[in-house]
Amino acid sequence: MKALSRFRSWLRSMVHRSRMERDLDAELSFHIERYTEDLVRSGVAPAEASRRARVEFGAVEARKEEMREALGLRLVDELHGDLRYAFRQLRQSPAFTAVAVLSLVLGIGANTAIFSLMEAALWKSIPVRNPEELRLLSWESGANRVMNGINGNMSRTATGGSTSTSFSYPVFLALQRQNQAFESLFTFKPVGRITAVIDGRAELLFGMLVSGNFYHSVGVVPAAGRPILASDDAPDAEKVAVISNGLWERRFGRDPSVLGKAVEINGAAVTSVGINPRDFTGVEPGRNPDLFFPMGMQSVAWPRTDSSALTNPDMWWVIVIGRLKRDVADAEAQAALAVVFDQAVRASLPDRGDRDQPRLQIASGARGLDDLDGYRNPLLILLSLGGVVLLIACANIANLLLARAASRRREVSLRLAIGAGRWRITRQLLTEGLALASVGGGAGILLGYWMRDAVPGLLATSWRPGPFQAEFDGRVLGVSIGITLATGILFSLAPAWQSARVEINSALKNAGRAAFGLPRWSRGKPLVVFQVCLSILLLVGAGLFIRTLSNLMTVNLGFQPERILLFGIAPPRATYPDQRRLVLFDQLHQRIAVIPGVQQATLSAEPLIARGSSQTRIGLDPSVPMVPTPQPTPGVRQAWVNDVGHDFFETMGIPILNGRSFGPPDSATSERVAVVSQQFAREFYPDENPIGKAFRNGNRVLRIIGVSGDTRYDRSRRPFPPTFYRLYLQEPPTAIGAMTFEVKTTLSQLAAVSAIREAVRSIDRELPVFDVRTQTEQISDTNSQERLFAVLTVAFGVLALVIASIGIYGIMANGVARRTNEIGIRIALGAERTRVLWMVLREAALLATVGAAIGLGLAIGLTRYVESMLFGVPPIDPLTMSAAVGVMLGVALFAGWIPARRASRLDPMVALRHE
Amino acid sequence: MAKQADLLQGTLDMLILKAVSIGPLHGYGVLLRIQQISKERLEIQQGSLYPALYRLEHQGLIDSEWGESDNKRKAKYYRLTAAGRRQLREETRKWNKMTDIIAGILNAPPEGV
Repeated sequence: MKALSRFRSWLRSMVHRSRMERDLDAELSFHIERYTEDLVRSGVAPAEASRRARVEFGAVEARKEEMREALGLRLVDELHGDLRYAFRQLRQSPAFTAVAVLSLVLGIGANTAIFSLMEAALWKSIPVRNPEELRLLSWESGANRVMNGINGNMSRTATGGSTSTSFSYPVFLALQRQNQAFESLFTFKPVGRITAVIDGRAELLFGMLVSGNFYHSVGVVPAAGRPILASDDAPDAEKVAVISNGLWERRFGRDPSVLGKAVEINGAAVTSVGINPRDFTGVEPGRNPDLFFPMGMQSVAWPRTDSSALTNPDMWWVIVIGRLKRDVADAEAQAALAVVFDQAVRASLPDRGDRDQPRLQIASGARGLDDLDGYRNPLLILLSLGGVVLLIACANIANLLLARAASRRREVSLRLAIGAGRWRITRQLLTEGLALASVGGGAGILLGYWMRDAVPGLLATSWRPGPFQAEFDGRVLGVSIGITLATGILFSLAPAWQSARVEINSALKNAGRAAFGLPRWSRGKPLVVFQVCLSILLLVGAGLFIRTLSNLMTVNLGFQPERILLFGIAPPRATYPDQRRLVLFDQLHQRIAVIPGVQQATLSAEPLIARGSSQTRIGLDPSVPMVPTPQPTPGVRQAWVNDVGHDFFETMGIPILNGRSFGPPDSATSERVAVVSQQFAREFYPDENPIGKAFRNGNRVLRIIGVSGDTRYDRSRRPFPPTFYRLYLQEPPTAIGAMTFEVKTTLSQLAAVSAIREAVRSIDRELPVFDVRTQTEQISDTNSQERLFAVLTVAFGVLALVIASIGIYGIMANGVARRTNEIGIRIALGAERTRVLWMVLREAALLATVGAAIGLGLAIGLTRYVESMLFGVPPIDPLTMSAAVGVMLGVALFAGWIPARRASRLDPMVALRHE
Repeated sequence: MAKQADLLQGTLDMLILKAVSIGPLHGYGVLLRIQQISKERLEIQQGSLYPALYRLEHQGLIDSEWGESDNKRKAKYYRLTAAGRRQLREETRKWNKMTDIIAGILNAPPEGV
């Protein structure tokens, strides 16, 4: 009641401030006039009456101040005054302000940009109704798992078992039917790229299969048309699709007549029935599928030639998410559903005796199916680096503020002497710090907003978008503002603490000759040491990542990537079933190989150094059939495999060390052959010549015809894997889907690409050529994270160096200025100028050396956290460390040399007169 | 002017509430009313009246309104609010109780202690 009335009165006087002031004046003058009149009436002379009225009333201004205070306006008034004073101070020293603001802008800008990445890659929920209610289902199993086919994410557990989010469709149906704890359970499957022909033009789009209750369960209503419904799963239902808002805009120019339009998907006619709302990009962070199909269309959108994946209990492929009922606890839901799951697995799969039964688990589904978790550590490292830069900036500003506080001691002590409280002084300094932080932070947040796409840009390529887009939202803004305020308080602390300890008398007396009242150098020294130490940390990081990148770029790949053009071809299975697909690839191969200017051409299931690889198990004794069990078996080894075309080794420049490569005698009908890598020969045939030997791979037996040189496979940083190459023409057609062509050419990229497109079109007008890039670009993309780290750590390192050298320069210059008298006396007494130079320089060198020593210690302790990201360089690398220290010392000495030279050139006469 | 008593700390608020409880008054009027009731025995620092008025108004114990004074000039008039009336009653009760206790102590015969 009282509080409310107080707030109302405070607000009223805040809002109607000028009227309040007028009323105040009017009321007091009314009082004085009335009193004067009364005095006159009682016989006092008018002039004397007016004087007495005023005297007896007391100090009007002080009373007015008390009245304002009574209204709760004093704090606001003082804050207002402090702020005005703060900004005036900032304007008065533009150099100081510029340096402080600039270092804050860069520090906070970098952090804001990193926060916007973390928001996108780690924090933000998927754009659906109440995402916190969603639970992602997964299972964990021992090493000997019961199901044979898994498509989707699978990872190994610490105990050698496996865990996955893929379920079989029959198991999903059973879960959905018998579940009690969830409001609903729905399923989906990202099907990757599919060929779509729209208005006669073929392109590759990303597709997603969703269950009939998907839209209802996630709570998304299409912007136009209708969602996918349960009735769409009926076997005789019309084939339909909902298109993404992005595709609608990009491909159809937001034309509403797209509803009802027929689109050809993998050769089948599909009607578009709905358009997703703009903010709904699916349920996988960072992904944005173009087309959503009902699960019933699995055979069209995700064709497998074996039995339908919808009925196959041994094919685990769909992702299941549930919306938990509001009053059900997680543990309860998991326990209840686990029983159903157990029964469903046993009922759907044949009895496999001793195989491990999977256990159901539920986890938060607020981020849907999240593949971006791998960015957690790199982003945390980036955030720490950004934090270090910000700390260095803070130290710098604290240092500048300290120096200024020292020169403001007289002002502060004067204010203390005339009655200002110490808290009042501290508040003034805090206000100044916060004003500075707000200016720098505001601009930094803007900078971060503009830079937010820089990092995803570094991860993207010309043929493929980055893994995620930065998200700049309220949370990022909030965190950045919080950081800004925290830095403001942080760098105000030191000067505030110092001012609060000012001794009024000594400060007032000594202010003119501060050199004798203060320690010889100011308290900023530890801050400079701190800056140098953190800079060393960043420099060491930069050095390690530069060396990593340079090692990756010069590593022996085992093949010649120059002048090789790559592109993908994914023939729709409906148009090219079975053997016809292999025939098509062969036709394309032969057609492309004869393009004038093309030296050699080949194709492979996996392009090299493109993050992807295939692994398989081989049996060294071809006469022993292999059983599909994930358990280790004697004579069975894990090997890497690639299905390639003729001329693969010649095109890629991989030497054949022994035997021969694939040639004219090897065809679809001849004996099945393999070329193995040197590492393969070394590991599996250590003491014998592998040529002519046969080994088993699944149900095929392959005879070794040659040994090739070793090549890197999925990444430049991995060691040479034991690899064997199969001829794709000899493989079962079901195993061959999309292929990547490698074309060695002397043509320019532009000419080559148009000639290749022409060649492909001459065979099939509707076959899209996708992911066109050179082999060099491909390698560079695979190293993009290392490149990103090299670029960012160097940028941060340079930034830190600049800020730290400003810090060193500032403190040395300040020290020299304060010791002008002393130095003048020394010179006058005959000190050599070089000695003076060294005296100052030694001080800078000492600061830098102490800082560098601590920094090195820190670096040695911390670099092991980035060890997994390094290549060809140990985390404690003497070369990198000594280079970092060398650069730091050099910069520090240069920063100290400028004031040192000024000191050595002092004219003693001028210096002694200096006050 | 006769010798005047100094005002006890914290009692000014109470006196103001009492003064305006009889009818709306402007600041100068409050001063006159208090002096009149106290028969000029109480000295009030004139300036200290206004911060007290503002404080009471801020607390919602009194209310103000601009009106016309007896000599046709604009003046700010204060009057008691319902909350102020309650407060005055409460303060009066407390004051009386306190003076009773203190008077009892001060007047206690030596043998009673």
